[in-house]
Amino acid sequence: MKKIIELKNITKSFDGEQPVLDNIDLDIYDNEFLTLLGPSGCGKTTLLRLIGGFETPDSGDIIFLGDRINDVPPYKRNVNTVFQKYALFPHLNVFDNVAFPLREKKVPKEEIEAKVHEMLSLVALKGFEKRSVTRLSGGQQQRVAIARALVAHPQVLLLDEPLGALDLKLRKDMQVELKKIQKQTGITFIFVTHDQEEALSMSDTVVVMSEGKIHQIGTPVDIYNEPVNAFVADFIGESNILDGVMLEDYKVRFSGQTFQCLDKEFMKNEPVDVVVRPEDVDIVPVEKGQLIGVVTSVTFLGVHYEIIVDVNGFKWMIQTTDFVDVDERIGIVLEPDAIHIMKKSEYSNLYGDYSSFSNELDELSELEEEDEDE
Amino acid sequence: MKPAAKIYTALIFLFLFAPIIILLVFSFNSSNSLSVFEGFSLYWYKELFHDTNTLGALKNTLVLALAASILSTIMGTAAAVGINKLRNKALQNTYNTVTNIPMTNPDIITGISLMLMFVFAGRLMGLSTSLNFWTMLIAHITFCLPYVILQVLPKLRQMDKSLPEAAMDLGCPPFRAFLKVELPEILPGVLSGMIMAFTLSLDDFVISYFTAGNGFETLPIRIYSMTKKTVTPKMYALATIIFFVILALLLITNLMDDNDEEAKERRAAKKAHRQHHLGNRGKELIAGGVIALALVVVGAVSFLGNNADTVELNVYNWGEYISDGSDDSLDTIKAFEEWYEEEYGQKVKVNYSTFASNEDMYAKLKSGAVSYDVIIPSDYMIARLISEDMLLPLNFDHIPNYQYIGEQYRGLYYDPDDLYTVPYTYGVIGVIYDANVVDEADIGGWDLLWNEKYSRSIVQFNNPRDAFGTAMYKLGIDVNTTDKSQWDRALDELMQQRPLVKAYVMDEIFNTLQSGEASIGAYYAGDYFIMQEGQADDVDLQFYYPDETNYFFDAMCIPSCAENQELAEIFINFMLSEEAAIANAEYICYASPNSLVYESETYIEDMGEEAIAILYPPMDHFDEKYNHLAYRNLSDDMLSYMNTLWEGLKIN
Repeated sequence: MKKIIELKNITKSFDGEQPVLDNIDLDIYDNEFLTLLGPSGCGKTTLLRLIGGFETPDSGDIIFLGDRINDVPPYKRNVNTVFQKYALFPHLNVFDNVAFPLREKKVPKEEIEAKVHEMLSLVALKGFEKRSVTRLSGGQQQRVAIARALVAHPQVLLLDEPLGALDLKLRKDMQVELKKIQKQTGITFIFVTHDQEEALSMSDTVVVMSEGKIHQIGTPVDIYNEPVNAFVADFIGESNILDGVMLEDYKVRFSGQTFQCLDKEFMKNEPVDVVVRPEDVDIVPVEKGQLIGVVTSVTFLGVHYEIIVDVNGFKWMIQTTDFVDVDERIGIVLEPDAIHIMKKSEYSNLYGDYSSFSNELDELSELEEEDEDE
Repeated sequence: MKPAAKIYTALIFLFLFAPIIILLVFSFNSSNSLSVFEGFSLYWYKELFHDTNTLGALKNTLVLALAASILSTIMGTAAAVGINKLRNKALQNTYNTVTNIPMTNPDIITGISLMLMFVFAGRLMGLSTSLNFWTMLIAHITFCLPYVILQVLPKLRQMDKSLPEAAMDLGCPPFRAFLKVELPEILPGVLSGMIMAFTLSLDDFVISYFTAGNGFETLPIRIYSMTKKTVTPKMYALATIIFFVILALLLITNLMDDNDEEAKERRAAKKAHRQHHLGNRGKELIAGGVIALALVVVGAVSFLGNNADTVELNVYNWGEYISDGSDDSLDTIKAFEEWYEEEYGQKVKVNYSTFASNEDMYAKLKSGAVSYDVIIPSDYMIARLISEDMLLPLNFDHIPNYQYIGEQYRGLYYDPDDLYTVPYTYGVIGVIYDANVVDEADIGGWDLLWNEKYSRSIVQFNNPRDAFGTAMYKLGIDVNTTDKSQWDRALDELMQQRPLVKAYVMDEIFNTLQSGEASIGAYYAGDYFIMQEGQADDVDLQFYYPDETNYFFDAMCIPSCAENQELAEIFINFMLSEEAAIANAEYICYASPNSLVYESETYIEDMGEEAIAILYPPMDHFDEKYNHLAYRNLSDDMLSYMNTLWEGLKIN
């Protein structure tokens, strides 16, 4: 596959503070849907703005199809952006908004008309040409922004949390639609989000970032099943993360028990982080359990129950379709493929224990994150 | 609304707009009375459009306001964009506060500091005159700028910050992105900033007054200078027109703000149509047009100012103190310019500006920032200017018409050897009374102003020099005495008069006497005619001179800062020529010391025998009498003593 953008040793800080991006290396390939995923303040938007040309790196190189473009201004880059709040031009109607980049390029009038209509039908906004953009719904504005960014056929489209302002249903529809548009146009999409579900469902490649660093680059399945450290494991989906010791290949000990697993090539008796996804835990009668615990809370979530189980003081999260009651004693069984072993990192012991977990808190912190993104 | 609330609202509006309504009504008055409406007429509007000096000042004001508002809008918008782009919020606030300070500064401080700066800079650059159109323009831009920033900044803050980035992303270089995307968004703020700057510049008096240079006179300064004579109803007409123009501008701004949203809709709809004709370059064309207009205006002004083969003459005179072409009179300045070009084959441009008091004129000369070629101050001020070496001796070879100045008007105390001055007009204070109220037997002396029969019908001067003057003439005391006990005696006299006095007045005397509100007062003979013209039907104003009274002279002289003495002398000579001198005497309505005037049959016929008799009281030994009775410059010590006594009188 052809490399379209290469980021080499990129470092960026504002006003002499802690670097927002710290020695970033990333290759982006042609025709790829790549997602920059991370909590707010991780530097993903800054990275996008560097590619768009709105910021220049303190050090390092941005290579676009082999040319260094660090100092090329945004209006000379063959890259377009869909902004977080769409940034539609309020004094122009839908047609004029979409036609804007073509007029800047002095495209002949007939061609402009044809291309704008083609784009508007691609985003299902035919017939809205004369409408003022201030009188469109959020989803429609979103589509205009996408049409405007795509009409001049950029080689790369940058999308800065474009779905953040939409409600859940619309968001799901747009995810599907965006993916479809990317397939149809064959343009490389670089998509920024802090929503891991969005990232997993749309991307070819996910780049997980925090604190200005890249933790992991991989396909959604890799990232979910084989997280490199506790941060990634916790940020992508829910994870129970326990302290363990790798006894030998395929044998790990934690919670006072020894389990079979699929991991190897660790040192003998190396301390490790053990990740178990909540949906991979089987509930069995007490006498059959490898581990035994007491249910401390049960939440019904429609498809399944989410229960918290206290096993010798460590609280597990388990997703199950079986009904159990609070205070019930249950047994737990872990199949070898339910267990994923990670090397110890600076994130060990920060995540993965659900002692203080509550859905409410989770939602609150997510809201805050969105505010901070401003 | 409840009835009470309705009435209250109505009263508030009445309170706010009553003065404007009265102004509007009296601008259509057919007479010049300030109190009686004598019928609808457009006379004053017609007069206004024949008054070339006022129209010139209006043109100056508009040119200045236009240039200042356009330039300050461009600069202010750029500044606002810059402030808004700062990432550091604290720095942003600091800039914001600093730019706002000039708004809270009193005008007087802004004015003085700007004048000081210009004079200082002018000295550094070795210029003899540092104040001119450009300094005034800079001053106006200075005080308009914060208002523009204040209007534009909130619009920028409301705007989505990613709009300009989006434009750049889609292929616009930064400045083009500003024009195509940012400017349309903040346009309402920019326009209301510009309109605000325009109106602020239009009616600024204080700052303009301090920074005005030779001959560039704005309307507010001109109106202010009219206080030597009374403000004519032409000015009501002008004020009415200005009021409506500004009202229209404000309405436009408000509509723009209110309909912002709707307008966007309509514009978007219209745009589709226009696109064919205007193309998407329309906005740039408009923006470019505005900038081009500003350059043309500024260029035109500088062109007018710098015409190489035109000589310039700067004249500084009282307001309303020269025949200006209104009412079919001679436009003296224009006549001079035409005559000079014919006679000498060279164009001359007279920059004519006006002052409101001798002290104002003195301060302006003393500042050293201006240069005038001819000034026309009053006698006591001339004495002071001579003693301070601020006047040039005249070369009378260039002023042959001086021969027509009557013998009795030469060798007067302020210029005993006739070296520096050519008398222009003189006036005498007399007593004006309503013959329908006052008994013939009671008239004749100053006693009438102390007559208890007419208690509360008497008005007295509201300035110490003139008020003490009446008492001193009555008591036979020398009005220039340095004996404080004599001043105390005069004060006692004024104390006795006080219970009888209806009001202490200056210009208001016109109104009070015309309407019959009061019946006795002292004022200048020339002004008596104006009062008589506008008197109410049941009022019959008459005039007489007491034996001893005040005389004043205003005379033409050349200040030492003059740049073109010979031209100034030629101008003075022209002012003495028959046609110009008669036109001025008829216009000003004070007595002329020029025999070409007072012996002219046309003049006597035009003025009427009765008026001539009053203006020129038959008098033997005029010069002796004048030297004996005229107010002279008091020492600082005497001035402050007089002022203390006067304050005592007014307070008790």
